[in-house]
Formats: sequence, C-alpha cells, structure tokens
Amino acid sequence: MSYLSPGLPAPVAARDGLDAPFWDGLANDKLLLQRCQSCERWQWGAEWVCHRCRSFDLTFEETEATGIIYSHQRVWHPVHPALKEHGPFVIVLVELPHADNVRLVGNLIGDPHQSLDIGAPVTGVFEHHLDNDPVFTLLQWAVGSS
Amino acid sequence: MSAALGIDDLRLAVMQWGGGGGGAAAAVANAAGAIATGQAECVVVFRALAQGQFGRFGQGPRRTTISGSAAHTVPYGLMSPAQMFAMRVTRFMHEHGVRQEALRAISLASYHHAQNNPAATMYGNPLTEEKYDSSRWITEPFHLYDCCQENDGAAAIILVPAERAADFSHRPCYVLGAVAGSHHRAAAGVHNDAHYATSTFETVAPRLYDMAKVTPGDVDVVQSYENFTGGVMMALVEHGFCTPDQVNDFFTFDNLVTPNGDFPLNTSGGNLAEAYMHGLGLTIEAIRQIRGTSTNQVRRDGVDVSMMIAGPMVTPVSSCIFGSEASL
Repeated sequence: MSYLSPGLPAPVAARDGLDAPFWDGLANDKLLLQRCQSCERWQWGAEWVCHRCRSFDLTFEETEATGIIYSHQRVWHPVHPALKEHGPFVIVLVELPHADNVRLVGNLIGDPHQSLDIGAPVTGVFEHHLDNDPVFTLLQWAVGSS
Repeated sequence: MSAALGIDDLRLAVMQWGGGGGGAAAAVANAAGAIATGQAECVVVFRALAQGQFGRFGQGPRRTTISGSAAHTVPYGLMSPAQMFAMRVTRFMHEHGVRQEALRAISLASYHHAQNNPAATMYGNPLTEEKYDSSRWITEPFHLYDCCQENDGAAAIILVPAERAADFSHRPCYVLGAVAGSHHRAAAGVHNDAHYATSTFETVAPRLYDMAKVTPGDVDVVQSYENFTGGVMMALVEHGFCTPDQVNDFFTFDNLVTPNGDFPLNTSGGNLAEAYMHGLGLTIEAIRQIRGTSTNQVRRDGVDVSMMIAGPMVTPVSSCIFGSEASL
C-alpha cells in the first residue's frame, strides 16, 4: 500500500552513480547517507566533495531512520495527473539530529488532515514499490518514536 | 530582436544565469555593468512570455523515471514551484509566530493597487478578505491568491550612460545600485540550505545598500516580486524594512497601500494582479514611481528612491535601487 497514487515518476540512481547507495539501501530497509571520512560529518543531498572540509573521501554509512519534523506542507492542488483524484496529502521535511541535522523530504503517512507539528518526532517507514517497473523504495515517515 | 530593431552592430548579448525570476534585477546589473565598462552604450533589458503555448508552472514532469536531486522530491509529490517554497515559509512563520493574515495583506495590497491600473489583468476584479479566506489552498500556507498567475506578455526597459539622460524627454531615472548572488549552499540539495527560512537575500541586501549608498529609511517605495506572498514577507525582512518579530504588525493592508500606508508595496498590482512578467513589470513600476507616472503614485511629482526586489527564495537572487536626479 503506497501513500500516494501510483503513476508518479519512479526514482532511479543518478547516471553517475552518486546517490546509488542511498537507493540500494532503501531497497534493503536501510537508510544510508553520505559521511565524510576526513571530518566525519554527515551531509545530504549527495555531493562529490565534503562541503565543510573539501575532502573527496566520502562514503555512505547507515544511520537510524528517525528524526523530527523541520517543516511541512499539506498539498491540495493536483500537480500531476496521477494525483487528480487523490485529494490532499502531506509532505514533511525531516531533520536528523543524530546525523548533523541533515534533512530528507518524504510524506507523512496517516490521515492527510492530521495536525502538523514542527519538532514532532517521526520514524521512517520503507515503502516498497515492487509492482512498478523499475522497482523502487521510498522512505516515508510516521509520527512517533520507534 | 536585433533584426526587429534594425541594429547594425550588436554589441552585447547577455542572459542572466539561474534563479528564474530571481534574476530580474541582475539583468539591470548586467546592463549597467556593460555600459560602465564601455561594452555597450544603449542596452535593452527585456522579457517576453507565451506561457499558454510553451509551458506552464503548476504541473510536474510527465515521465516514468526521475534521477538526480529531483528523485528525492518528485516521487513524494513535490514538484511545483509553490511546493518548492511552501516549507521555507512555514518554517519562517513557525519561528516568528507569523499569522496567515500577513500573507493575505500582501495579496490584498497588490489587488487593491490593480484597481487603479487600467493595464492590470485584475483591473475591475478586486480581492476581499472573504474571497481570499474562502479560496482553495494550493499547498499550505499558500491560498490561490498567494500565488502568481501565468500570462502572456512582454516588457522592456532601456539603459544608457547617465550623461545621455538629458537626450530623452522623460524625467531621468538612475540606477543607484543593482546586485545579485546568494549565501553559501543556498542551493544545497533536498532542502538542506542551512538558512532555510529565508528568501536568499541575507548576504545580498547589505551589498545593495552599500552600492546605492542609501539605507532602508531612504527608500520611498518598494516593488517586491510575488512568486508567492511568503517570499515577499521574508525579502522585505532581509532588506531591513522590519524585523521578523514585527511581521504581523508591519504586513497589514492599511500599511501596504497608497495613499495613506507607511509602506506602499507593489503599486502597479505587481505579479499577482498587474501581470506576471517574471519581475520586469515590477522594474518598470519602480521607474514609473521615479518619473511620477504610476497609477498609484506615492508622491505626486515622483519619488527619489525606488526599490525593486526580484524573485525571492530561489538562488541566485537580485535586487536594485533606482533614484531621481535629486538622489545622486
């Protein structure tokens, strides 16, 4: 069961492979984000260079899929034909305090009319789209600590 | 363009890079720079749109897969400009206790001014508080009337060296300053800009005032690009017209409209209600205010210092200040 109606563009790794470990991780129920091996800080979105210390020595490491809501929006206007009959849905920007406050975009699953609270703890939910060609996995979020 | 104008010797062709509507004042900066360095003597800054035929903004990409930075947003249904900026505004409103009425006042001011401007698309089509409140959400916190419309149109201004200003019949309007740019990592992927709850003018606005040698208190009237009302709110804060904690008191309908408001804003109707010319319409209105030819003229014989702020929340952004002869 996916949060949004099927038919939106499916994410695939960048052609240069930059974010491929992230998508491979999600397929295996793991959150892998970029970490600099020189200064040991996390960063996101994926880049070829550490934006703090300019090191090129970046790898992907697993981190816990938990965070807090940094900002949010309840969407009403259908921005894609696949969403024409869908009704409102919620997008959240989730901050990961345990990973240098990097942020991820996802949907907040549950009632689309639920109250939206900045600072509320959320837990990641791996949403597999195995019927799609190509298959893919999204990282969604649910209110509450794990 | 060169063929249409009969230009025998084209000396300059510049396109401002990046930032969509954020480049509107940068185009003025590019023209002024070309004139100051002798590359050109007469520069046309122009914009022409045919959105009906050639592409609209309210819909996302129609494709089966997506990669790169957009792969981390589009599959979650985040793909239109309103959605790209809504969470910046919500974060700002949360941090500073801003009420929806502040955004509404910006929209009401634009529509109010358009009622005196026969050239405005929303002339004869006023907006009320009730109409705003009952309009559909596009994405919270943006109602329909918080979002710029789309239209066809064209707009242009002409710049020449200051010493040639006397050759023309209009009251001259001088470029006191025009700057562009953004802070470090303003374009960080997947909404990771460290200065997220801003309109990208924090480092840009101080350079504008330095170049123009004026302060916020010297500015007589402001045109500020409404892609979305929330961006106008943050842009005016970052240009020093009020503090974040004064927003609810500053952004009221009475304060933002001519003839009695202390801070007349978007006096042609702006992007929301005159026409969405990606900011060039606002530049033209800033110049009209210097000349004394606005339909909502702030001072009858023309103002001395007139500001235009281009598309907020993108990167890079830009803003400019025009002045009368007396301001030099």
